[in-house]
Amino acid sequence: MFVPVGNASPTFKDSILIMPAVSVGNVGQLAVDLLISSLNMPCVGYIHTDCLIPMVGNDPYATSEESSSELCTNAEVYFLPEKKLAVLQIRSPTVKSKTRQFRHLILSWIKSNRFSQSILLSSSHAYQCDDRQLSGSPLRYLQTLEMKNIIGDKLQKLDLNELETTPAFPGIRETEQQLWIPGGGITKRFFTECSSEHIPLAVLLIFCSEGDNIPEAFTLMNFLNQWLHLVETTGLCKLGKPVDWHIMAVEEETKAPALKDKASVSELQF
Amino acid sequence: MATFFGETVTLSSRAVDEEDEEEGEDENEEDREIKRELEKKREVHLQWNADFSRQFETSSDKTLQISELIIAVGYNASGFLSAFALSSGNWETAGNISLWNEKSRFSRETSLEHPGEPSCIFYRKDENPEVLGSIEKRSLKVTILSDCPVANYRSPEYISAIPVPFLKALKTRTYNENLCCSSLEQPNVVSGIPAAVLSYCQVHQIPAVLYQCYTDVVKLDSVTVETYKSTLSCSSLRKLIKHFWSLVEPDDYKNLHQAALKMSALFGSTYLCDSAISDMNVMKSKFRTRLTDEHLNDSIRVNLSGYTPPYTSLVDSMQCQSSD
Repeated sequence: MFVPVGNASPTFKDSILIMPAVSVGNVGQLAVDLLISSLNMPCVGYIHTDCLIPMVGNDPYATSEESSSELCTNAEVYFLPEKKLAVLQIRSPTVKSKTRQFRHLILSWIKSNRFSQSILLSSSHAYQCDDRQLSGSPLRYLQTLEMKNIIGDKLQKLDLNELETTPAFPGIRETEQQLWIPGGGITKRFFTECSSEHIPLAVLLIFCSEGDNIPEAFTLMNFLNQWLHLVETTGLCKLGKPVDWHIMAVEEETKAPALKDKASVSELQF
Repeated sequence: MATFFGETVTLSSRAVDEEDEEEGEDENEEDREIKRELEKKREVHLQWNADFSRQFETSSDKTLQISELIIAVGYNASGFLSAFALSSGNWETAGNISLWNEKSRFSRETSLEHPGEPSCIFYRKDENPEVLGSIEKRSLKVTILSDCPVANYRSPEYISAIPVPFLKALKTRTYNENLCCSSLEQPNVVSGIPAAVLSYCQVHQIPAVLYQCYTDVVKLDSVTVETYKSTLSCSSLRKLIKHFWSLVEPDDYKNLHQAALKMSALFGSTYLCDSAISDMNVMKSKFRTRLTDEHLNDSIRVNLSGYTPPYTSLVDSMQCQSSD
């Protein structure tokens, strides 16, 4: 399952875990890419499972000739012990019949490593927003009870709204309210499973559409930075973009970014 | 999302499939039973030949000691290995893998290979019994050859400016040899069997290399197969290939082919030297005391030249008894 890079397995106890959900626009994965390359986080292990579609490529965060031929697999764990920050990057979608198994795998890994907090970065289809969600910030959050006990009202104080529930049968008034995250991938089920397993989990999601989702990744990352103070900056350009974001044209000082390695893999449908 | 005509359509996403969300929601026992049956049918079966099964049983840890594993994925890669490796030396079939999924046209019970169906066969070389499909991880080296459509290759330059087909390589951390071609640039990725094998090797620290050939022809094509020839310089493949030049078409690289064959036969035998020396011994007999070095040189030259004087015309041109 988790296989460390060297012989020594790192201890994640009391660290914060940040992971993406493979969701619309791959925003979670892009935001995690930004985080890993900004902080130059080293890879400490692999999540080796048959639940994800296999994929390999050269290191997307390479800054030099030698490191650009380091192999990268579809799910890797990066860790900064001094900041007590662990990041799981998932680069390929789950095999269709194995999403449940994958959720349980990640859940049991989180439990066994005793992370202090887990944060899932995700996104949802903007075209499914209802009237309340159309105006204001596109960011929303969800948190389990255990997470609320740890951080309290912090997210609300940062002007973030909790994700609204939707009626199970739209149009009918007295119907039960349920969580609905279209385009969120495993987000909804993972959140409900973490709630029932009493795991402190927060979900940060953004409403977006498919396209060039780099700005959404920045928005998500900036909010996360405001909350956790991971990178000491207030400006956008300080957050380093991964080296391989170069094919798309964006007017920034550093090399023009392009993320679509994640996109191309997510297009694979088996 | 509403279209111009007022109908609503669901937007598709490159990342998620809407069907994923309904998975497992209202499953009853019958659905689960059907799923279990399907899972069983889709299992991959590995069958070894009788010799190999015996070797497995008799080994102490139920493994086979192998040092090299070479995998070819795709028509051109397997065509290359068949032509260049399997045709030189003695290879025996060691085993095969059979599998079924909804795309197969034949049921699993028929054990024959069907042309056009995906199949996997293991071969082992007689003289070098350590080259094969392996189970044992220690001191194992893996080489993978794979085809890929060039449409999947992403590059800042125009694809039409890059000569196709071409090779790109990916290697695991523990692989130390030089690559036979350039490394696959970001943001290109590899998926499927080559990715699964390479991921496994990276995670378990097994030295492995993947040579991916980007080609515009999906079926078996001689130009694509020839592109793989540059991988012959890597150590795993080099030791498999004997009499390489005899496998090259004489018409393709005519001059090089002939020069190479001549070079390989250069010291095949010393017959010519020996026969020249015997001729020289006949010439330099004890009675020829006035034979100078120059004369000897010239005589040997004439002897070795293979030139036969036209005796008849020479004789005809001479008059033995001329009358003045």
